[in-house]
Amino acid sequence: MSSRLLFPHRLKSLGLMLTLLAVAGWILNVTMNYNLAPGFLDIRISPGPESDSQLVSHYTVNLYNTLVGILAIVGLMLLGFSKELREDEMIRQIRMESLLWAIYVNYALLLAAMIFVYADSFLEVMLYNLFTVLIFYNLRYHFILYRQNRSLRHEK
Amino acid sequence: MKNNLRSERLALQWTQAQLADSLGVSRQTVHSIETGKYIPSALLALKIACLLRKRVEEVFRLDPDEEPPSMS
Repeated sequence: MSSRLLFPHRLKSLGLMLTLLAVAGWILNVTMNYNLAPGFLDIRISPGPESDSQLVSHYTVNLYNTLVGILAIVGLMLLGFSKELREDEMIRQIRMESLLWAIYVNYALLLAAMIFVYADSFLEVMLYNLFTVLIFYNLRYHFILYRQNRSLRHEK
Repeated sequence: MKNNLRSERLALQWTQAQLADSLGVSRQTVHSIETGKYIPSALLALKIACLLRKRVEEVFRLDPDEEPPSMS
């Protein structure tokens, strides 16, 4: 992976912060049975010109889930694709392998879901699938870095 | 591929961090090369040999099963 496609190192901690915020927001929503919708995030949307409904003048949409989704995507991208302090050839190899591994795992799970999960439950799977490549990539990439740092502690 | 980077480095009394700084790589990379977990690119192998003032085949060598078949 070419270094010029990566974000500057200083954005990595911002990525971690945004990811943690997104996780906190998601857990909060799960604990409230997906009914969390703070009023200040309500927006009114007019039905499009293609809508044939004459009865509805506008819809009210809550942006809470949109906000959590944006935080998750931006946070995971910055966390996973910001340069390390020393972005060398081994780090590049770990990145490439982690990305490939994440894609394999993601699509293996998606295939299983396509075979075994149907109807509304499958829509939920697809919703989570928007984030899983980034999640799997980050988990594997940072786990390998952590393992390497741990083995370094005993060296001079 | 095997290497004797660790013994060559210790012979010069360099730390992994010093070698890593001179090469412009992380200490993890030097450690991984020394323990055989990472095989460096040709460019990095040549840089290492150059820094150690050795020929590249004095630092790195192929395993017997990695050697290409004889051309004769």
